[in-house]
Amino acid sequence: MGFGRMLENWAAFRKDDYYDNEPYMWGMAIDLNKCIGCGACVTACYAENNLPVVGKYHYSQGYAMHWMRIERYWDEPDGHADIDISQKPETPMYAHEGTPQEDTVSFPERGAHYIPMLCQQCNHAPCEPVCPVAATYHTPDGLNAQVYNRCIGSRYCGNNCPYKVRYFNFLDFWKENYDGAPLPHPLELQLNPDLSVRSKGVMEKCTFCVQRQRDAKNAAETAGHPNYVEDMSFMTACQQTCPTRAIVFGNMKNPKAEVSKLWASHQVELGRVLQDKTEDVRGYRVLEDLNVEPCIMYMDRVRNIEA
Amino acid sequence: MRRGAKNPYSFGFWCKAVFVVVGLLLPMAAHADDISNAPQPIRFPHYIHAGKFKIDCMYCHTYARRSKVSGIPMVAKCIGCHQHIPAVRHKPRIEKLFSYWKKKEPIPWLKVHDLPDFVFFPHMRHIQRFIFQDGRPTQQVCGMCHGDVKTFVTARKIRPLTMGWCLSCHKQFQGTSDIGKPAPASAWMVPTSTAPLMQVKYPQPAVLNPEHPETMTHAEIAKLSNQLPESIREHLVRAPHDCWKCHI
Amino acid sequence: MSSKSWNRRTFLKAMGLGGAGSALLLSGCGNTDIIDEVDLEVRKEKVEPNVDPQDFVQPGVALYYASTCRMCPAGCNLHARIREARVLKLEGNPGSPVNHGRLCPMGQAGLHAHYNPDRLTKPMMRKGGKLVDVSWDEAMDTLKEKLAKKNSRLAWLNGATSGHHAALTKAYLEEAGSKNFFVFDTLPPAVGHAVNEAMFGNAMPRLDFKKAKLILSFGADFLATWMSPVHFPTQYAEFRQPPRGTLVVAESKMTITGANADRWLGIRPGTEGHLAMALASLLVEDPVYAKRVPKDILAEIKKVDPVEVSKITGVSSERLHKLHHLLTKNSPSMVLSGSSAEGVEYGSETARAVLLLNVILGNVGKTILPRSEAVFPDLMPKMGGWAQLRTFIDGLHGGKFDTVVVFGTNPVYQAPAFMKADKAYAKAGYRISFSMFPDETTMASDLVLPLDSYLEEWNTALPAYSPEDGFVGVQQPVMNPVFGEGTTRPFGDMMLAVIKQMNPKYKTWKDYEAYVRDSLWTMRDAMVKPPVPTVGGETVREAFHNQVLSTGYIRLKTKPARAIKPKLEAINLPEAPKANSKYPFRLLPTARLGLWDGRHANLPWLQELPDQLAEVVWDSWVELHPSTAKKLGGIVTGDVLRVSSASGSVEVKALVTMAIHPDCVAIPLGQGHTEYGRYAKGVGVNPYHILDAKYDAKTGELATFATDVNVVKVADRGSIVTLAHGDLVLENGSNSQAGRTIVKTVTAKQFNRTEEA
Repeated sequence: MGFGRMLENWAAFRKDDYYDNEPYMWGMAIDLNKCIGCGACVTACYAENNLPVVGKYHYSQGYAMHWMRIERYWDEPDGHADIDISQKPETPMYAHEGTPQEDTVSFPERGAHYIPMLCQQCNHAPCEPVCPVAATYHTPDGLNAQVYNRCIGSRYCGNNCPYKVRYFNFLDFWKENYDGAPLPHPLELQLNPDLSVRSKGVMEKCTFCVQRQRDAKNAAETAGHPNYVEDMSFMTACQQTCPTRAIVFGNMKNPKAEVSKLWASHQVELGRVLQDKTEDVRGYRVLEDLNVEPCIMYMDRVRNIEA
Repeated sequence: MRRGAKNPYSFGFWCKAVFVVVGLLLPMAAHADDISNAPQPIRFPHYIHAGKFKIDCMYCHTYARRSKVSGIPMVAKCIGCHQHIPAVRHKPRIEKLFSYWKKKEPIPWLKVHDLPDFVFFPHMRHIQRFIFQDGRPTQQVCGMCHGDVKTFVTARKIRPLTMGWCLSCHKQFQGTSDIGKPAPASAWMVPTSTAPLMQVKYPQPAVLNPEHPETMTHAEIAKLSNQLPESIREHLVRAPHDCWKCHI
Repeated sequence: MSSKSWNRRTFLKAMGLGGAGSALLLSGCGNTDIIDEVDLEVRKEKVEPNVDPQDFVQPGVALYYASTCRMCPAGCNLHARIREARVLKLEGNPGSPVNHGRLCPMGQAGLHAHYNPDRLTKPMMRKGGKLVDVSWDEAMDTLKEKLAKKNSRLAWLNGATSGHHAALTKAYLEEAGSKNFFVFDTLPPAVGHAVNEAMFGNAMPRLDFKKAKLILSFGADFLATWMSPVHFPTQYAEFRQPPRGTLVVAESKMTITGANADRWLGIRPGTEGHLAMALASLLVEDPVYAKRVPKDILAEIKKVDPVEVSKITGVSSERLHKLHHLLTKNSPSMVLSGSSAEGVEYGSETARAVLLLNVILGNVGKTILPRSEAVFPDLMPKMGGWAQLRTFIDGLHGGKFDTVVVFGTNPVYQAPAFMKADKAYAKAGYRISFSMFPDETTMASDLVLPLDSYLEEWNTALPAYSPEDGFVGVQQPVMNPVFGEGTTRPFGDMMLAVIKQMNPKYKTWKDYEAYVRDSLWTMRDAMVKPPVPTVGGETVREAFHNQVLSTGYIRLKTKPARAIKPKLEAINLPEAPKANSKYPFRLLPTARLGLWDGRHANLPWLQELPDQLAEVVWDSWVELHPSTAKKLGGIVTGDVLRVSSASGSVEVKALVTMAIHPDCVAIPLGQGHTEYGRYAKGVGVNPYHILDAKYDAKTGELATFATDVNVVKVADRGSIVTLAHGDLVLENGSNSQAGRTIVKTVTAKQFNRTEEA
């Protein structure tokens, strides 16, 4: 498109009324009380989205292509590692009373902090304005779109992402599979035809399973209600496989959708940088103070400190 | 070369020249292929089936209204009729057909209307909109992109099928909107009334003559839109103008 | 313009003048080959129609078939998404009470097993000492020659099995007059099953997670590798709804279940039973609990000194009392015993001590529930264990078997070196292997029959843990065999061909599909709600099959279960686990959700899935606590260590982590294959290899968590590849949130107050 048109477009989806006429705003709520860190979502994403397996060497180089990853921490945000029972002062959550264990050995006694991290589909995405060719932009239904055939591979977007959820195809992984051979037959039969297979030089990231969204909208249009996709009639691959139903995805403009109800009950609003919560409910968005407006709400992990 | 003299035919000049020539020629490449010579396994005569016998496009290309792809008819479909037509049973092309059927092998047609792998074009939406909603005749709708097939032998690519060409039609049906900003309803092409379509004048030669691939002009379409009743214009049908609708 | 002034500015100017077409050059439209773009792929791609499909097959439109996952014995039901006659994606079957529409990472990776490039596609026979490809005719003739006869010296080793495969195998062995049927599978908790059977009358009683207010797990990794990787997490999610249940896990190395605990007790290895007895002794101070225990056992419990136990286990007295308090306050509760607790020489005693707590707490009948009698005992799951493998191998060493069949298990890989399984197998007269992959056992066999994958065959399967009695999962092919008709064959077809030669009654069925269909049809009277025709023109039988297959499972009528009457026996725990100065550390060979027991090491998705605790990919490692690392002379993550037991040694890279007791080291199961294809061969080490010959005294099961090792550093700084997410690293090697609120914790009190019930 022409340069003038590009500038217009960059401005268009930064206006507040951009989403007004669109019946959809896709969002997600991930409950860390339920997430057990099993990684089914990660594998389902690989299966659904033609993600290449890069092998040990390329993984060590940072070329892994896991659009969804499970991050595991041992400590709380304030750096307090839930470990040293003899030295740390008591906090409301980690009351280590009584005599320490025999040899003051430290364990992570409250378990691991798991968080599935994926593209947050920020409404004020820092990755969008910096693309030199406008290969990434914001769709009216709230998704951060990545157009593979337009991408020239400058990687500026990946640089800007605060969550580091953008992945660059440094190699033609389908041609240079980990042992140097093309994707061995018959593994290529598993590839999803609804989605591009990305080649070298292209940036990619979680799309909230846009191919499924397209099919769902198609079905809705055929059924005669083009502007209404029923809640849960289409699920992202991660949501569909999660054994504990920790991931809830849906249309946040539909007040009856489960995801909208969760956002509402946790008093997290799109369009606010700092939430105004009347109660200490669990919902929050990661790094939202950067004013990126992520569309994924996480719910705090819970531990019974009386145990 | 003497110092200070300017060489008009420097390395830089030739680089530029090559770029200009290639750049100018590339768009023409989209039209450069003559698919009538594409060697199909059977020289299937559309002019007999769609032309002489007036078989509806969707009788064979069944999936056009149900799926992303329009579908080449299954071999059983051809056999379904031809097993009952003794008059032509031993013609060479029909013999070839039956040989595939006997071996239970699919006929390996060459794809004429091939879009790059990163383009997703849903036939279903187009057929549903233009044939079932708008009520236009099938051959006209299919003909917009595939040409006047009832005069062809095997299929021929008569449209460039480039992104710009697709967008030219999408723009007409989107109005003058930019990405994401919906145009006012009056600028949108809305379904026709129940009156027979032939009353609305479409310039027929544009579809039937592959030498002139243009369809209606913007002005002509706008004129037709304005003739339609107000009540129908409230029905919202929008063509995507969003990269991600087609380039997933 | 001279060539000297050809600089960047002029270059860009020239590009700009290139015209509309040059934009194509810059955009890198997915590929860099301009020729392809100009051509727009005309005359390159073929479009092939179907030949004679069924009318519901439409190109571009996805179809869904219901089947059952066979990636582990859990038997979750799935829906397979098919496009253009190929399966592309597996999802859970929403109607299944086992997995409620969900799948675990292994279930998702079933596609990689199905489409694996190293699948066997030709039958093989050993000729002149080497395995060579043979025709199916020759292979089947040989198979029938070897099997279709009476032979009491035939031995059959199977992996965990259920459903009609189990029934057909049993029928065959009856025809053959062989009693040598062994089931060997590594992860099913055989000791636990035996103790449950003795104590509660059923190897696997029903567990009601939703009713439990507290779950105390002694090494039962129910969220990952304990029997049903999807079912228990679905129940766990409900358990965590308000009012939120509490989870306490006592184990020596943190598993996924431990990582989700409200309190993780890192206890000294082998002391789970002692901890349970200490809790029992605190509980029975209250007469309400005391009267639930028979007098002789009560006397034993009263002898236990909690302070002494605190020293033995490493759990402080305060913790112990706290746990006691929790148990009394949260009723009903559920106390579970798992493989790491049961994997010692007194494993049965440990399990009994742990499960005794359920009796004392009155959980039996509340969260530990009875099962009804099996409707079709031949279809019930046979989980097996090491004791059966031992008998099999002893038999082989003793030359008792002249023909051996192996299906669904890989003893040459799994068995510890001391068992000399490879030598034993070599002694078998004639070795037949049914297998999908060239695994260690298969490559040591004489006749190799390449199998269809579970997505290509007809079958039934019962879940290893079933939330309902009388539940049978149905398996159907979701596509034609990947490598073409006749390259691979289903197990059922081959065995049916064999058994037909022995008993003409089996000739009724043309193939295994007919056998399964017929069996299901005969079961219809036993079904809760047999399907009836709904579509006009369908016969009753057609309707039945269509509905059963589209549902994916059947439910059989069951008699009401009889209440559990616990049978308690004396518990004989040793005084304290003995320390060993030569081998100071306990080796914990822990299973991973992903590679399982090693059967999935050939699946790239699962190798690339970071371990849920260690975050390591494509490798093995040995976990040790920072204090152990210090004690051993300052070991850091990546150092190569030699871990040696009395039976062997392995070299593996260190991973320093706090999530393990200092008295032990843990090496994950699943790697160390010497065959098994390009993705598994030569990757990592197999900790089972160096296990000592120690057995549970009561059941004879191999005590896999009883081996002691010493650890010596042999090289510095090997590379261990982990999921990097660019955070600051704490001195103990773990990542830090470094002040950013990425994941934070709230208390359960607040949760119960602010969440809607």
